[in-house]
Amino acid sequence: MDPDAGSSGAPGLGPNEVAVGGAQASVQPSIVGPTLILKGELSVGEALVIHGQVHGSVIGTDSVVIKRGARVSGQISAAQIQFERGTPLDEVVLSGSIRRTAGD
Amino acid sequence: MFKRNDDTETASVRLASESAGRAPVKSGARSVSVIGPTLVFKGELSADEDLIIEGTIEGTIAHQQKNLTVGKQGRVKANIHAKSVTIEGSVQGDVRGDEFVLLSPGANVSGNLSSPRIQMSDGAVFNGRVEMSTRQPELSVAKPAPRERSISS
Repeated sequence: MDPDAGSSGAPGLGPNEVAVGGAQASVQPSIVGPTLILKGELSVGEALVIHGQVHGSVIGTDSVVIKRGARVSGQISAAQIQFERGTPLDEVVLSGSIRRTAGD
Repeated sequence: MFKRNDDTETASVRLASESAGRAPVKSGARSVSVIGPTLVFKGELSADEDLIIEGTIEGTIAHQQKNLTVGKQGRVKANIHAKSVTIEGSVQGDVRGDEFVLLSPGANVSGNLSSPRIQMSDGAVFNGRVEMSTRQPELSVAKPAPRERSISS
């Protein structure tokens, strides 16, 4: 009933590519909005965009994008992790392909 | 002439579709979070914005001021309290809506419902107790101003 969309969750994209930005209409990234606070264990197959707060462990098989206003602590493991310049990351351990971007 | 009032605009459905491909989702003075279908979260969730759950949430949800939607693929094991709650998927837990609770045809709810307005669609599965509170949420209904009130310039 709920077919697996594939390990990357993004048809046509490589495992380390990001499908955020509307290029892949069929892939819906999870969005942690500015006021959303998650404390606990999180695993996700699609791309994850964090504007709010995530405290705990994050395991992603796709990409995790940490926006500038986000607050994260704990551990984040993903195929690709992007964070914007100026994002405080002193309380988080990142593992994966990590890239810093200039931001919006 | 026709000034749009963003504060009262109900745009959650439109925002849900718009949110599919981009972030952040903040349009018409509304922002919305999306828990995607492959996301599994165990822990505490709190938010002060509209929330759409298509994934799996287990734990606690503190989401009192905005609209919460459990989508068709959504699975929630938690008590829910929000301004309005729309359920299309599965919920195990008590559901409280300050304005309304809507169970769509595909909804499967095990828990108690509490809201002034409750709608269960044909095809929804529900096991629990229903409490329709008569107490309305505090609305700032302005009393009609006396028309004969003169304004001195």
